[in-house]
Order: sequence, then C-alpha cells, then structure tokens
Amino acid sequence: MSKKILIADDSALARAFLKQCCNVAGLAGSSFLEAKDGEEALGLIEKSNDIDLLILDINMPKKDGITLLLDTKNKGNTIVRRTVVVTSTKNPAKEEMLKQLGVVAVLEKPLSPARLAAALATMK
Amino acid sequence: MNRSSNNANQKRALTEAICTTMESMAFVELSPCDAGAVPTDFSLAEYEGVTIRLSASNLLVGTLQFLAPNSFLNDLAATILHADPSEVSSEGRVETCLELINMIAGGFCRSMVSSDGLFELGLPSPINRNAVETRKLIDEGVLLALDDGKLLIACFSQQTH
Repeated sequence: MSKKILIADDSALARAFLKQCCNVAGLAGSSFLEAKDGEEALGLIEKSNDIDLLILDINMPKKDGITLLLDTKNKGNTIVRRTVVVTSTKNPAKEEMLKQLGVVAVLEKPLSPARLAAALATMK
Repeated sequence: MNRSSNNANQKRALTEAICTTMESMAFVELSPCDAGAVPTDFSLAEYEGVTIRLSASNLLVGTLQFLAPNSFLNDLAATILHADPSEVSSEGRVETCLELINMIAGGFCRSMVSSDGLFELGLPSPINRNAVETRKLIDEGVLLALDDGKLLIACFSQQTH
C-alpha cells in the first residue's frame, strides 16, 4: 500500500538521497512531501490528514528537528504515525531523548537503504 | 596524551570519516596523499569549500574545513539529483559540499568521543576560497586523492582555551 512520507532536511541533496533510500528500501510508489526546515515541516503536518512516515533531520535552520517534535507533541499530534530521525549527530543520550518523543529509530548519516529498510521493517 | 599523538588521532579519525562518507554517498575509494606530493603552485580555483563548527563533550571544540573539486561535486550532485553534471550550478556544488561536511563532522566526532559522549554540530556554511591559506591547509590537513588524482582536503582547527 502506498505511503505518505514527509522528508524534512535543509539539504535538497539529502532529501533527494533519502527519497532514493526509501524507494530502494521498499517504499517505491509512496507519495513524498518535502520540507527544508522545521517550520515548513510543521506547516505541512498541520495541513495533512495523515503522514505515515516523517523522516527528520535534527540540525536545520529556523526550527530544528527536536523543537519540531516538541511542538507536535505539545499539540497532541495524531497525524504523524511514525518518525525516523536521520542525523549526523547521533549519540546515546540524544537517541534516548528522541525515543521519549516518540521517534521509532535514530539513524546515522550517511544513511544506506539497507539500514532504512531494517528500521522500517515493521511498518510495511 | 601529547599534542602530536592527539593530532595523529584527529587525522586518523578525520580520514576514516571522509572515507566512510565517500564510500556511502559516492561509491568512491580514496588514496592518502602526502603534502609533499602536492605541487607548490596548487590552486583551489576549481574547488568549493565549506566549514562547520563542532564541539564534543567540552574536550574537542573547533572548526572543520572541507574542500572538494568541482568536477567531483558535479558528478555526485548529478547522480543523486538525476541531472546532467554540466547542469549542476555553483549553488548545487556548495549544497553538496555542505551535506558532505555535515556527515564527515558527525563521523569525526563519533570517533573522537567516548561511546556515550555528547557532541553538537553547528550549521555548515560556505567559505571564501580567497581567504584560505592554501599551503597551510595542504600542510596541516588531511589529503585524500580521488581516482583522477584530484584531492579532497579537510582540516580541523582545534580551539584552544
């Protein structure tokens, strides 16, 4: 079944690469939304009825990924079903904090389709 | 740990981070290059450069610079964006460089801190090539050669307290 996926990353190159990873990881045919910062991502979430997967960077201008997660949590988000963080700044303390915010997986950049597929295995 | 072994550890970690990033993003293998092998008239005219600030567990604070040849950045951006390399703009090359340094800096910090250590990265930004001290960068940085002999150059400048 086709998924609706929101990719939030300030790099257009990273968004394109993450989209390729999704396609290779078994999510080909999904519809993709893209946001270049947390503010834009929040706007897209608020306009959507349902987002199956949010792929989120942490270091972004305007509103970073953690602030976006806190904002959506405070607003009682029920729109985003699952969130995967893909970041260059993964560490155990940050991973624990992100999981408390509902993130299902925290993956290091550079990402590979295999690691994304493994993290998403339960949602296909 | 003395300063020279600290520098050696930093260079080893930086080399690993660059190689891992390039293998994943560009499917290229890199060869170490000695500064002495770089011609004295080496120019960065056909390169893009970026910088990022990083801090790790209050022990490692400084700035990382990364420069890559335009031809390499054109090819990489074109592959990922499904474009022709000749269509990649200067902005596209810089954006590619910005994403690469973000990944390299993350890998570098993970190598330099303990397994539970914390680190943070700033937002990367372009650098003015004209303001770069090319020879200092060559002599103090990590140099890795691509298949065509062109160089990827990275240099970490630690902030002293």
